[in-house]
Amino acid sequence: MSHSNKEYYRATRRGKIIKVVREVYLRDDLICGHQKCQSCLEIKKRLYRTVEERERAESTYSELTGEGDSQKILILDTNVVLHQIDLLEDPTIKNVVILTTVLDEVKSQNFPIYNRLREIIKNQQRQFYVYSNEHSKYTAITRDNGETSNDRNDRAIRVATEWYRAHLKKLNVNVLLVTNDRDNLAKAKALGLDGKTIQDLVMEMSDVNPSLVDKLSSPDDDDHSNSVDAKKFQFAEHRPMSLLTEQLKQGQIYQGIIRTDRSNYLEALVKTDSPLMEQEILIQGLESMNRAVDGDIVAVELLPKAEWSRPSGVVLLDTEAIEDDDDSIAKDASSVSTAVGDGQPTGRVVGIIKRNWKPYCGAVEFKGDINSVVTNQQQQLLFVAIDRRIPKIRIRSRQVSSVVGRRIVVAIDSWERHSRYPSGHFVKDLGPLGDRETESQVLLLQFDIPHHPFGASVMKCLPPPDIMDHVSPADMLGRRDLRGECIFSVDPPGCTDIDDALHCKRLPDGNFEVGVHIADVSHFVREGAAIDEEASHRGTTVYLVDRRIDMLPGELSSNLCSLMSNVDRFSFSVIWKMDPNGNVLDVEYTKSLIRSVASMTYEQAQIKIDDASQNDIVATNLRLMLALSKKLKSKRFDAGALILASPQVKFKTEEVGGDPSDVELYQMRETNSMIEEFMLLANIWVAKKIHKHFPGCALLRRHPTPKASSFELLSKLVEQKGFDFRTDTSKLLAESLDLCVIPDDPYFNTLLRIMTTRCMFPAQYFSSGSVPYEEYFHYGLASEIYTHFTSPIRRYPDVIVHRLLASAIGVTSVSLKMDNKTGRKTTENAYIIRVKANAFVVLVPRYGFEGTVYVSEPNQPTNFIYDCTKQTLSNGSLTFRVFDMVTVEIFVDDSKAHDQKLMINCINPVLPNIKPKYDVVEKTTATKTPKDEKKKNTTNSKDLNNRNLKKQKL
Amino acid sequence: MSKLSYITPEGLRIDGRRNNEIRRLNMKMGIFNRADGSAYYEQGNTKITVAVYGPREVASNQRMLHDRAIVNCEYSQAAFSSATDRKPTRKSDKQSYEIASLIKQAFESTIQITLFPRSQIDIYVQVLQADGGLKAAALNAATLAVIDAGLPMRDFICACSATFIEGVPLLDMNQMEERSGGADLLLSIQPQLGGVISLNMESKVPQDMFESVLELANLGCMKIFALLQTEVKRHSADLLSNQINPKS
Amino acid sequence: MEAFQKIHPLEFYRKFLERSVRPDGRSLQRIRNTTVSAGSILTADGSSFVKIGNTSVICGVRAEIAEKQQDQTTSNTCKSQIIVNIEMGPICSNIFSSTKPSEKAMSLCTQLNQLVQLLDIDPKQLYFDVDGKYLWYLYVDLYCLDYNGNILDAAIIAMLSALKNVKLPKGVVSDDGSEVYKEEDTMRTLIINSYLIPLSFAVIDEYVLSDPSLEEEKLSNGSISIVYNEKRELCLQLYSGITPLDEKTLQQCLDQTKQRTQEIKDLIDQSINDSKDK
Repeated sequence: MSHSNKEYYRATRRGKIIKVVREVYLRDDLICGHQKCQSCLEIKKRLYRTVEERERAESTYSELTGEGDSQKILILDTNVVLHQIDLLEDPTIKNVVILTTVLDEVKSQNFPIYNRLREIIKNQQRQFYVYSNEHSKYTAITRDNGETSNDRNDRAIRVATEWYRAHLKKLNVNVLLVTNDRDNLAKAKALGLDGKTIQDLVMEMSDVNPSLVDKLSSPDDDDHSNSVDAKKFQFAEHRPMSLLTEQLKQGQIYQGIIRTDRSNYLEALVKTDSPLMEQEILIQGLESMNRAVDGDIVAVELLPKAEWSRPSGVVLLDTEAIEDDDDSIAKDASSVSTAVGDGQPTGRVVGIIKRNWKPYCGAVEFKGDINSVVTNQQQQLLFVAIDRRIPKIRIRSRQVSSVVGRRIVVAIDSWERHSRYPSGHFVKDLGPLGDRETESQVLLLQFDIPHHPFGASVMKCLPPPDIMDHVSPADMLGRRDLRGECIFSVDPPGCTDIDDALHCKRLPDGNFEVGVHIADVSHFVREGAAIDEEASHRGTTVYLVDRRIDMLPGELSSNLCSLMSNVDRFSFSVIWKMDPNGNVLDVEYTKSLIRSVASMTYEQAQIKIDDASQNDIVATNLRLMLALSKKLKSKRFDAGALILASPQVKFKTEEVGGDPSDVELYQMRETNSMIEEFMLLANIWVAKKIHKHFPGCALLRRHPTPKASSFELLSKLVEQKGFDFRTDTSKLLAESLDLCVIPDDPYFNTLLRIMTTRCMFPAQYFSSGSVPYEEYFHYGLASEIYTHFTSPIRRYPDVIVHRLLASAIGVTSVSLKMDNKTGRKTTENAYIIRVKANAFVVLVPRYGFEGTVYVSEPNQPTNFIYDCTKQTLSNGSLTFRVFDMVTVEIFVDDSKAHDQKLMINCINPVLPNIKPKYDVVEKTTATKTPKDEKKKNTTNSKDLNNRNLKKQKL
Repeated sequence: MSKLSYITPEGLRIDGRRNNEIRRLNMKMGIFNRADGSAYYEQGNTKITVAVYGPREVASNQRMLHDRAIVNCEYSQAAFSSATDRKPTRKSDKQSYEIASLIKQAFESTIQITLFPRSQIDIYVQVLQADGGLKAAALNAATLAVIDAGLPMRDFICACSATFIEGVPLLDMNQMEERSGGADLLLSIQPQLGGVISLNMESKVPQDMFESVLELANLGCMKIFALLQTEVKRHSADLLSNQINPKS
Repeated sequence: MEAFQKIHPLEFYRKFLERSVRPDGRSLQRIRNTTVSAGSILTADGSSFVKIGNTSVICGVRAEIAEKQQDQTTSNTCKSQIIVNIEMGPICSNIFSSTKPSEKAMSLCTQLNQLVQLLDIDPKQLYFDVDGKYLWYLYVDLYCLDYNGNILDAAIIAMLSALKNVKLPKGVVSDDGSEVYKEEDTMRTLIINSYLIPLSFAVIDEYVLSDPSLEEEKLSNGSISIVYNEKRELCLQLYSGITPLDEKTLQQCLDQTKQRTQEIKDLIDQSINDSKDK
């Protein structure tokens, strides 16, 4: 191994220039990867002393095969990899050597393509071998004076190809360099190397595999021999990156993501990050859009104010198939009506900063007789994506018949200045148009839903299916045995993943005990396991018409976790003691083992309740539960909860074939509402518990209060109908909604509720440390605090909440990742060492640190009098002197991530008029004085909504 | 934009070494005249010179021990040694103290100090170029210098660092690998007697991986020991054959 | 013999000096073997290592960028852009303590800083960008590793060869003030056309010894240091001693120093050329 040093200068992010010196060790023991190479076999024998070691090493890469003319070893150039990755994924391309020069370049230019390349390499059947030419004594080169880095890399590839050729000569193997760079090809030929462009190669292979040609993408020619002949119209040139950066910094142009209007493909909005431009910039017309595609990060220049326009309000779809490029663009531009006058900032795209092209699903447009098409002749087709915001894409295909009438996936390659549409290439075929299976596939692809079967590593994490028959004492540690209770579950018909079960019983003292038992998923899905990673990646179970894509494998979701009747199952329980009016007197959280006695549908449960003749224990308890749930519901509505309707439909499928035959609306019964009430209650109480224990990092769910302005339009419309629409508080809104009824049109109210939902923000998950307590509020449910706990089988956040709760009750320990996130607060003794006019300085002996405690809010008058000579601070009832001992609370205020501060609060004696900067929700170890209580209540009363909740606060 | 990977799937690190290879070593003993013993040691791009003075009279009588020698160590990094910033020499730097005390403790246990009561042995370490593995290199360099000074030692002191990045244990890290944030384990041993002098690690490593990292560090120490021993033998042979009085 | 040297070193020396020779075999004017090697410290922008006999000094230069101060007049010299510092710690000798910088080190620092101003460096060499809004500041750090007399000469030669060894990248400042470096360009070497030719002497009784070793320095009752530049202009002349110096002796010292010019120039040039080949 030889050693040398590589020195170069590099500019750091902050602009500083540092000298970088790196060692370079050049090896002579890198094998070429060919199965039959004798010299490399010798090297392998030297490197790996035992056969097992060698075999283990061999399993990490795939070997090349092939001798003679029929099979070649290909060495690819960077641009070929970057532009033709779809082609390379085709399984017929094998025996390829990827040099580290190429690998590193691809990695730095396009990380997703690099990942795809790595996937191909990992697949042993593809026979892609990575040769580390940068580290090999024989093929490593240094940059010559005056050589650009691109030239140097090309030279490195040629040198490596030459080495391969010489090395494998004995085996009579043909080594081929594949590059589209004419210059590179010429130099390679001069060295005596065999070189071809990718197009030529694919042509040669096309007799064996005709579809390969279609996957060829056609980016800009590498040698830039563009013919700039006079086309009648051209898009404006995109400005170069350096100019864009300059102008961005100077504020001449803005950067943002472009969002095409869903109903008008020629109009788009760009929301910029710049604080100088708060509004979204309107882009109208093909010319202004200048080849930007929805989702790209673009650079926009504002038009002069006189040309500012307003959104046209027109619905426009690209329905014409335009073959010629010329004045069609001009025609489109004029078809967009522009309302001139004081309008919205309007601009045009002057450059693309980052493309966000993805593969798109859709179908090709084809007019005419398909039989008249000559097969294997390349045709130009226009592909229309399902997403209306994406422009049509021009693709070439030789297999027209196999492409028309089918759903295909196409990727965009480039969009030239003179071209009306971008050009792309075919990626894959999904199936016939309109076919249910195909369309499902399309949906899943469009929304990036992982739907592959669970891998082997995930399946390995599953316990044996009979594990619940052998429950050991170890499993029962920290778990209550509730198999004696009368627990039952109520779910939609056909439900196999039963998340929840309940029980309810009358207590001797006249109160009730109600328990909600949720499937103990976190017992089987451990943090960090393959199954956990996969579930986290999926995030949720996806429900389609005919099938369900599970978050967890069926063995868990439909069996071991599902709380089916008459079998023992692990669960996580929340058990309340309530009075007959639904007030919670006590709560217990525990892991448990249950045995459900009945799993009913909503309908069955309703029948049981209504049928007076049924008086078994299940029926009795159901009735008790129903009564309690009604009390809970009315309490919620007093507090301002909303009933919002979203169109929930259910598909009726045909017996044979499974195609949908009819659609019906979901019917809500009393039992639906009953279960809902208890699930909400469980979620609220679990939220309280995990927040208490993890004030800084509990996973909660909030619904931000909508802005008054969001309701403006709806209010106006409803008032025109003659109704009073109050939106100030959720309670008033709920009352208004109840009153907006048209006797002849029962659907009106439902419709109104649906539209109201559209005015609001969606609910969101958040970490409790990221917003202040007032913002935990869930508007729709009118709850101070909320989380998702009750569906861990089909939602991943619920699994996280389960883990938090388990840790909060002490059953499991907190994971490493959470370690430094738990907001730690400590209470310590401190001594006053200095007194000032508005504060005093304390020394905490335990940590030896000094902090300042303010006696009044900044800029607020204080009634504390400072005596300079005696060094005291007094307000009549409280006096602070040097050497006095106080009790303080120390914590980190990390509400601003960049500016974490160590905060100190004096808790004994308590300072009046001081709002603790960190909301004190949990009990501290110091004595709670009556002053504390009063202080908490006064700070919260500021929020109007919270006033209503005081009754519920416990 | 691209993530830096410290070890490729092909098993090569950024500088081309495999995970169990140490960097190139280059050493020379007896480079300074003034000092009783001195050595110049290079491990990759880390360059260190050590001078040993002793046994000599104790500087202040209060510190003198009646039954053994005091070992004193000072560690200093040149202002131009760091690749990134120019760090003006601050002798009272906490890091310098820490490393100095590490070396002092190591040699206190290995040099036969009971043979030199009421005297002082001084070890001065000067780092000329820093590229990772400073503590280990300082220990190795100091061993050579102490041997050059002719002080009797129970055994060599060989030190090596190892870490755990991206699921692979790596041996003898350079500065970039040290900065990656993986566990930094420093192992110093008495190779022939087989004892561990010090084992430091400041990070979290999963328990099952700890064993393999420790083993790798041990392997590194033994490799370094082989090279140190060769150098000592060669230097001694040189001295014998030339018969030059080192103090010219 | 050894005992005599330890008990009465001055007498011991006198016995040799009477015969115009020194205990290490040198004549009174003979200078010890000097070696210079440049460019060995890769993390530094320029470096050198000098040995005069056993006195070893290592020097490293670090370049940093800073904005040009407004009060700096556009003069032809780069007065404050090169800052020299020398450290002499106990590693080189037990005379020096580690915490307190010794007087010798401090005075050496001052002398070196003054000398560096006399180097003829075109200010444009130290411009970071074309206009000179940003400047290079060079921090020269010297470490004495082995102290055996005549540290000043070694330090001067080390400093000079390190400076000549400095390689700076070309840079461009973008409009908003951030420095942008063009990777394609190669480094440029700092061009310093001047040389400094030093020579120190020790005076023992009436004898003048050039290039004194440590023992000789200790015994001397006077020391002379002379520095010339390549144009034979006198840059530094120091004398400290008990007895006044007469003109003749001084003239002899000046001449001896001048004679050394070519030798020093060759040494330094050789080291720079060698470092380029590395």
